[in-house]
Amino acid sequence: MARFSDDMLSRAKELVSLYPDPRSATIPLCHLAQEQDGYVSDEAMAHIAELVGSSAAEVQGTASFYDMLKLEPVGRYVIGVCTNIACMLRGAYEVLEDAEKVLGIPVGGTTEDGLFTLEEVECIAHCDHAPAAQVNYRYFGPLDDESFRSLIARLRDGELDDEVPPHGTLIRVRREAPPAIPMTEIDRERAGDQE
Amino acid sequence: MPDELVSLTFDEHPFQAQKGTKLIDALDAAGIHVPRFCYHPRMSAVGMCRMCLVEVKGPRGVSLQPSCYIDVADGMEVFTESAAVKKAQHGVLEFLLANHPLDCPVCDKGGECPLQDQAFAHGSGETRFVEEKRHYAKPIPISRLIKLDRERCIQCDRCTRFADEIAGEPLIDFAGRGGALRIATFSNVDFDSYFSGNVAQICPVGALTTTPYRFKARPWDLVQSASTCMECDLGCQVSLQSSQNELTRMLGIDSDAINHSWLCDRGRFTTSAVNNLELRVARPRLRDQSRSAEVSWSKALRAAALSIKRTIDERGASAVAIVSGTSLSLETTYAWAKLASDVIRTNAVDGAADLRTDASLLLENPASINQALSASKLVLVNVDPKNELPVMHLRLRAAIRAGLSVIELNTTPTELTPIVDHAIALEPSRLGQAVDEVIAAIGDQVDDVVIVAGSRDRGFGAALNTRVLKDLLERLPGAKVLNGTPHGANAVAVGFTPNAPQVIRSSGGVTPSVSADAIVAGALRGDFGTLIVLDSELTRLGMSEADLEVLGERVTVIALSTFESATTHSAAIVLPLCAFGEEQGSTVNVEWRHLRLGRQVEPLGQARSGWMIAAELASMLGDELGFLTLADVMRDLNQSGGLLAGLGYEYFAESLDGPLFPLSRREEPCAPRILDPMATPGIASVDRQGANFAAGRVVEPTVATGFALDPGKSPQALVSAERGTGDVVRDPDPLAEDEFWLSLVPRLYDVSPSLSANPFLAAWVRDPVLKLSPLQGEQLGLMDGDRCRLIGAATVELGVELTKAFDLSVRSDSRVLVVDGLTPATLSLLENQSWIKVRVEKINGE
Repeated sequence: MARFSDDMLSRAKELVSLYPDPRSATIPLCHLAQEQDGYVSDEAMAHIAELVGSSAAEVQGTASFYDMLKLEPVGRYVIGVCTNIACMLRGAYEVLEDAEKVLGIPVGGTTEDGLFTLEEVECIAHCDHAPAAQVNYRYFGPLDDESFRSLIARLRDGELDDEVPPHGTLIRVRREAPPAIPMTEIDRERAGDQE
Repeated sequence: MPDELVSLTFDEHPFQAQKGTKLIDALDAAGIHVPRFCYHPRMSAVGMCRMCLVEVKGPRGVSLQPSCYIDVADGMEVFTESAAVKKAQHGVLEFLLANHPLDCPVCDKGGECPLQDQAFAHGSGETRFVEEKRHYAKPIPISRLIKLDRERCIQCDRCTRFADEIAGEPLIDFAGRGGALRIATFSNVDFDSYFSGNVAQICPVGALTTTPYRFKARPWDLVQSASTCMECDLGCQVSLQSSQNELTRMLGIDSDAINHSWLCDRGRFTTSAVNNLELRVARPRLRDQSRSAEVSWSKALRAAALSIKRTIDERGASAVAIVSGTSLSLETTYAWAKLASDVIRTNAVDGAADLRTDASLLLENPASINQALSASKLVLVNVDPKNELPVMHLRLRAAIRAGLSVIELNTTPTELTPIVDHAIALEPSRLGQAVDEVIAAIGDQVDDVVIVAGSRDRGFGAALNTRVLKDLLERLPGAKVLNGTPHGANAVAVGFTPNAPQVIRSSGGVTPSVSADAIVAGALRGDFGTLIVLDSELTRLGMSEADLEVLGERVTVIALSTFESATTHSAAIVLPLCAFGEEQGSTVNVEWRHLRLGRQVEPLGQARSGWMIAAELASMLGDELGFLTLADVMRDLNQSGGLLAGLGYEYFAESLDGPLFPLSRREEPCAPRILDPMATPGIASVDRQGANFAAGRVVEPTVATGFALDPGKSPQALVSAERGTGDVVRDPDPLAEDEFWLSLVPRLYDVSPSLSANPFLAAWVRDPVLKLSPLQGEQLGLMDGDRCRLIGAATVELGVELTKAFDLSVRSDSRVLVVDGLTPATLSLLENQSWIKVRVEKINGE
């Protein structure tokens, strides 16, 4: 969708400065781009390449390796229905089929209003609440026809806004890192320990 | 330390190998071929394909290990034929073939494919994979020259490694993961590299193919000969392949001395220009008033001889001028040099128009390419390897990665600037200071310094080039010099240019003393009666098309040309020249190495070799050069003394790369060629890379001609004559507030007849631009994409390009403006002067 906004750019530069080699910031910056747009756009990848000093093809190569970095636009809520063994035995495929019907999209699709993307995922370690699903990596379960419908309805109405932020959001409360302790102080402390 | 040997056993036979070598190389040296796909001897090992697994005995017993990824060690026991190794090879191949389409009958690689060959040699012969294979859209054009067929790809990482490691342009990379791993460019950024053709050459399957060769021929129908690329004077060794009397493709041969198997696209795809019959000159032509008519050779030659004779009779021999700016074969250059000095007896001769430096400085203590790349310090003076000697750029990058210390002295940053140790700016106001900085950067490592001296910046004339080089050599008496000018090595070697007239001179001959710039300027004034242009375009030498019309009224222009150009369209007499690949012969490269030229197809129409035309003209002028065959020319050269004393074709039988000249002073161990069909697929047979490569089509090595000087005998002293190299060096007048020095630099794809005739490369020609750093742009009020007017000796309109890379490498107080790209228009800014002051004006949008 777009390159980094001014605010995001300052955060990006901060991230780049954390590493001895700028290229190490590639994945953190992909997350940042996803936080901004909900997915990692081509423009963002080109911008990341500029910031870390590699080529856009290399950034794309890295980003395309990871499933949780989306290179195509996705909905505000990415719903992943688990169909692994525990969930499957408890009726995950019925939930998935129902989800397709409720949302009117096939697996992998995004609703026209841009709210929901439906995915089929492997075990998400929520087996105790099988059949389980995740919305933007927040767990919900056990699900059936009815509870799935109500989950969708509540997401649509904004009732779960506090619990489930839009796709790509990394953190909602930004914390400042404490000021770095100067090396001299660390050395002095260590010397003190030894005494 | 590097000579330390370790003892190990291969299949229970004892062997010794040098410490630090890779196991796979040691196995190759021992004559044991391990199958491989991803390993390439000129790139770092990655161990991607697992095809080279061998069993190695270690402290915990015998285990399978990739031989490309481990070094030899003392006491190592290696098994390459065991049942476990065979099983591993079957397994790896079965996996590689699981998704491979097996469309070999329609694949261009079929017949020369490492996957095909090794599946036959090492595969189990069966597949258990019955599922549907991967499908992708195909072919995907990843650039205008390269097409990608993802289904065939075996993910060996060769092309991506080449792009990243060798070319330094990682525009292709893997995308995805697991079974969906694929080669990808970034959304709309093509793999536009000067070196893109190499990825198709090293691809071990048919996944990457070049557009010009796609579906053109079957490998088993190709005939080939060893030859040398003539697009620049680096002398890249190539296998020139043809089918049914048409050049099909060129592949790089791994010559350790020169090109390490790489080629640039300009060289690799030059065959397409040769095949473009519409833009070739096929028959001699005479122009009568405005009409031009094809005539017979005898009529055309008679007309040419008549014009020369009339000019000599009426205005003296010096009124006949001969000029060239491209690389002609050594034999042609010598024949014309002899014709000029002994028959026509004119001094207005320059066969190295691009060379703007005193060439005797290049010859006094010459360095080879390998010596330059292993020097303690390498100084680049006014040379842009990437745009002038492209493969040298790759060699330099590799050498810098391996620790070569480079000092760059240039008016304008190059692509090497970010990775060299010191980049020092050349500016007219600080020449002395720049030389001081170079000396300071060299420090006390003065023992083994090599200078690469070029003539890159057209704004930097011969006098300035010579002065900088002379100053450097005075301060560094032991330094060797490598020629860095892309054209004119043959002319220098035989003394066919005023920049090096003393090299070969038969007694009583006339010495060239008028430079190409002076010839062009003089011709426009009507100083000459006849102007002979050898395979060059006058608009590349500083004439505009309007000038050409005026020229035609005053001077009889005789154009010998391979391709049609503005010059051939306006010339009075046009004589067709053989193209690359149509004539036998030899050439000399920048390190004065003698290299062979192969003939692979018949000359088009009535085209002839340049030396034949010179011999015919001589006899029409009532004299004889004595050249009936190529061997006659060679015999004459052999006896002529100077740089090329002792020259002969017999050396081609002794060493694959040919000897370095002068013979007596330069001996370099000739490294064996890497004869690896997996490294360079497409070179049909390993044997054919040897000396007798396609016997009968290249110049046959002959027995020594009896005239040969004893190679041990020192050649005739190379006299460095004091003579005008153009204008006088004087301190430049200071710049006014709004004035800048003009730096005019060439690009690889600057318009030229052979490029215009090439259907695959013509689209790469771009308009010249004013290149600025963002800071300069701010100071001048110019933005990216703006248009501006540059006022120098002429006024030219140019686009503006802001280059971020310049911010780091251009000094903030720089008073140099860079115009990127040579065209008749940008050359008119200079009008053959050096250090032109220019002013810029922004052109406001409509």
